Amino acid sequence: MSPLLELALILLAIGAIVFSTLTVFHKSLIYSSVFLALLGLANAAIFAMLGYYLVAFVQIVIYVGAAVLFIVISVSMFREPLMTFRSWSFLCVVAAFAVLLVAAVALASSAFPGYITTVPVQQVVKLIIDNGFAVVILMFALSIGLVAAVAISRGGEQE
Amino acid sequence: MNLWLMPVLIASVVMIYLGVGGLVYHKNMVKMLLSLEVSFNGFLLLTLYAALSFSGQLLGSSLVILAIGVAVAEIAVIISALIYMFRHGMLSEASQEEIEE
Repeated sequence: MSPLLELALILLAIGAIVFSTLTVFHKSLIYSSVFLALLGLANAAIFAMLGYYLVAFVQIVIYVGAAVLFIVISVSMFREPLMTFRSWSFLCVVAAFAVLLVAAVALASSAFPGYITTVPVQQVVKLIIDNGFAVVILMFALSIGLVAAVAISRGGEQE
Repeated sequence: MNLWLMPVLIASVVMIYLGVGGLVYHKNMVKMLLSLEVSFNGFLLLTLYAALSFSGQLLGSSLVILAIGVAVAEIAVIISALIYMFRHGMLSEASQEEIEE
């Protein structure tokens, strides 16, 4: 692998470790959730650099976009979040990290195409569809999750 | 073993241990859930590392995609239960105070 790509991978791994530490040990629940979202993004960038483009896409759209945002919104419903950071400096750090992620993935996928073994998306989708039992389990889990969440929320309202 | 994959392996192991440590250290349910998610991310990374090392990338990809889907369902249920418990004062006093802070 190219030394530049190795450096990018090391930086992303360090970023993931830092964000996981902040997620676990930060006092504010809101910021812990935000750091979890950043950890998910860093992980997605690492997946993309390893050649797993479909997994990176699913990680961003489903995990970061749905699950972690759900945690952030739910936790912020408990009480108004306290601003422990200066918002501008926090925004700058997040923006810089996002730029680093995009640059690393773009560099890995376009500038050094020969160094990365891309996992073919069509074959992954075909494997998942061919093994229908796994898809049934996934659909079962998601529908049970949805029904349980709605039932718990409605139960809370009725009482 | 690919040496250039070492950072990925180290990061995944550190994430798993941080998550388990947070799970043991914290008494607040939300913090425990977040620690569990950190650990889950570490396991995802470790699975993909193993898949890449043992040339099972297709199987690893499909496994991780299914794991992410199941994790989303799990988060939805846990958070709903947590909101219900918070609104009805069922959480322990320490958790309630920490969430209200």
